[in-house]
Amino acid sequence: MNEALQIAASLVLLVGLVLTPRARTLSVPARVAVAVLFGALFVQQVLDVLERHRVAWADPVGDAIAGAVPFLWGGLLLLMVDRFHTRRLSAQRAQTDSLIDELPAAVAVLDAGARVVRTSAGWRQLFPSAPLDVPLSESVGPLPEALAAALRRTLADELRGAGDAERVPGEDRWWSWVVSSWQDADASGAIVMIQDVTSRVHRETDRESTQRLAIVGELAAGVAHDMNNLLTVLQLHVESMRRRSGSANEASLRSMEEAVQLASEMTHGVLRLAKPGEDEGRAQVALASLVGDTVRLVRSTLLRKYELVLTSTGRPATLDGSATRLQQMLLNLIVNARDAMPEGGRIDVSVVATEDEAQIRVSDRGPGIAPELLPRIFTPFFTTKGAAGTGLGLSVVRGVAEEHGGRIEVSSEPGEGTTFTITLPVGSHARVPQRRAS
Amino acid sequence: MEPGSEREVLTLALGIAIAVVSVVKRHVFRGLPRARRLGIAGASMLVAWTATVLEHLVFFEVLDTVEHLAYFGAALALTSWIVSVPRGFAEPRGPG
Repeated sequence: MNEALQIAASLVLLVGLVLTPRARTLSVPARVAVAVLFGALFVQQVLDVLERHRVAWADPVGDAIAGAVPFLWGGLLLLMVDRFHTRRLSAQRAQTDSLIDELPAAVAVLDAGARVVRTSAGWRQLFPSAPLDVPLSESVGPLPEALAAALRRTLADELRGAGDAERVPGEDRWWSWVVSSWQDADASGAIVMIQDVTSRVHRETDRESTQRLAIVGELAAGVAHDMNNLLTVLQLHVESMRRRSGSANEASLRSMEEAVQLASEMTHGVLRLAKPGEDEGRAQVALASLVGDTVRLVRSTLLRKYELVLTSTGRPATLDGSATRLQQMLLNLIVNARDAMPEGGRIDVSVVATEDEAQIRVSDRGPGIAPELLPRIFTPFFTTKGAAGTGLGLSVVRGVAEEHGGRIEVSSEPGEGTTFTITLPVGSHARVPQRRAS
Repeated sequence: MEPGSEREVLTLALGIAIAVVSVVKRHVFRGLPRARRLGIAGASMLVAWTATVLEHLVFFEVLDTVEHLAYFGAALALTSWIVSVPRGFAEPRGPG
């Protein structure tokens, strides 16, 4: 009976021994340990059978092997535990990697030397060309000072830092960020999460400008109203002087009258800007004539370093609109062109009219507009002139064009200059201009 | 005691030591694949080693049979474990 059991056990152990190499998910040392254990147990059983058949050497050898079995068993267990935990750790790391990789937020994992070792999909979207395995500041460029300081603190003391809407040095970009530390058994580092809040900051800045300018507008309207009254008095005195002096000072008086008229129109303009609901009269406007008058008016005020060239082609075009508003639109564009060339240069103004529409083009040969700024130039209060500009000029231009059923387009090449093209419907295609509600 | 039985006592002592460590550190072994089969194999060997020692003192026939039955059980459990291990060793666990 016992001998049968021993033979059966030997056979089963032999099967295990044969199958061991197939256990490929075990590490090689673990497989060797299992095979040796099977082999030892198998030999032990065989020797036990031989011992029953009075084979003299079987007994001591069997005993020796039996003594080794607990060591083999213990070794096998240790190997298995080590193997299991190693694999489990790598599986967890793979899960973490996958999790970070798929995060929509911009997250980067840094090592103790602040080198970027892993990034999320959101990070790669925010910094498409940022390399790995280099310090963060080299990977994405200069960091906001507070972020750099927080990163240093985090790596040194495992603290946590956060910042809201901080400007990237040398760029018109703003980040909100969070830095925290990570640590495992072997290493430590920091995790950086960045959110680009540039558009939010721009919105907030624009809102502040709007509020500030609304107050300025109120003040300007008050001043313009009082100024208008004074101009009326001045106008009356000029007329009185003309009556008394006859034609002796006619030229001077006409100049004074024109200056008063111009000043009066300007104050009316300010009042219209402050009270957009109040509309001025509309009439049939001859476009070429209006553009010509405006160019002549501006030309007399430009310094010699500027050359203002007017070309008019196509058929005469008229539209039902506000001459003052259209003149304001053109003036803004020419002044913009002048400001783009502080060293002087040529400004081209052209009018091209067909039966359906007319195009007014104003071109300068300045440095051009950066492509990333083009989408924002018509935004109210956006300016590249710093404190010298209000950021209202181009938004007014677009507003006037749209009031007359038209549109404005801009093309600009850095270093080549900028061209604004206003397209207005003319003749029977022109619709009655509408003042915007605000 | 018969000649050679000292070695059997030493084997049993080592086996008991491994069993004690395994019980004390059972949380380490809990995640091993098919740990129960491995445990059955270990326990069977421990029974076999115990019977080997005790058979020299009492109930030789019975304990000898127990010894060989235990070895047979250990062989079966170990073989069954090595066959089952390739399926999903140390796969990452899902949530919960």
